[in-house]
Amino acid sequence: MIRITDNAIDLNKILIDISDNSAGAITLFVGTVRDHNSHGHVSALYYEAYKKMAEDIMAEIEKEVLRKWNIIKFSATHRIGNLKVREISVAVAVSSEHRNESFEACKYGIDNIKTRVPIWKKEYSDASENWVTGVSLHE
Amino acid sequence: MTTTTGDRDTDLIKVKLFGISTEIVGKREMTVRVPVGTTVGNLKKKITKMYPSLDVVNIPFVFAVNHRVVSEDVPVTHLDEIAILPPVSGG
Repeated sequence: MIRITDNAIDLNKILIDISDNSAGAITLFVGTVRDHNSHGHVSALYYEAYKKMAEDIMAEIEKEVLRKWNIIKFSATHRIGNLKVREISVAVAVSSEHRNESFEACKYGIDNIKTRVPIWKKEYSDASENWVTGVSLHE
Repeated sequence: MTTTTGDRDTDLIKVKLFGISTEIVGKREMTVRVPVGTTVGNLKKKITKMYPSLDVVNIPFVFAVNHRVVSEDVPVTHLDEIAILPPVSGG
């Protein structure tokens, strides 16, 4: 389950979607807007996505996770638009029979979303706004 | 759109922009006239000539063609969906 959305991320809905009779574990990673970076205060973030490509890459990551680990369901949701401090920007959830698989698969999911998916964020502070320079994409 | 100017065929290519490249260029999409059969590498050279500040800030941006990041030797036409992708920072 892959989603890029303008709306607030509903964690309860994700947990319902990911739950399964055969699951003994669900791992949920939630990324939130922090009020600072290494240079100082951050008051808000703006996220932008190349939506079609971002969804394609997230679906690729989902396939990789399902191939590498014996898990039941995978869910990844990224929010775009303007977000305030404490709001949820990204959620990755994995259900599996046992906890180890879901921990590992969830970490792989968020690590790869951060480095491979065409999404960009701009940080706002009282005095400035800056696009965050992240990771260069590769073929 | 392919047109003939004099004896030289050219192609008008649309390029989508994201993140910091949108602000440098001042729009979300640009059109670039290039010789038919041009490559991503030639397109990149032309765009950095049109917008030197893209080069000045030295952003290691890459190109996506039809939603895939490609190498600079890949040929492009007006039928392709082309985008400039600065370093990503989701999450």
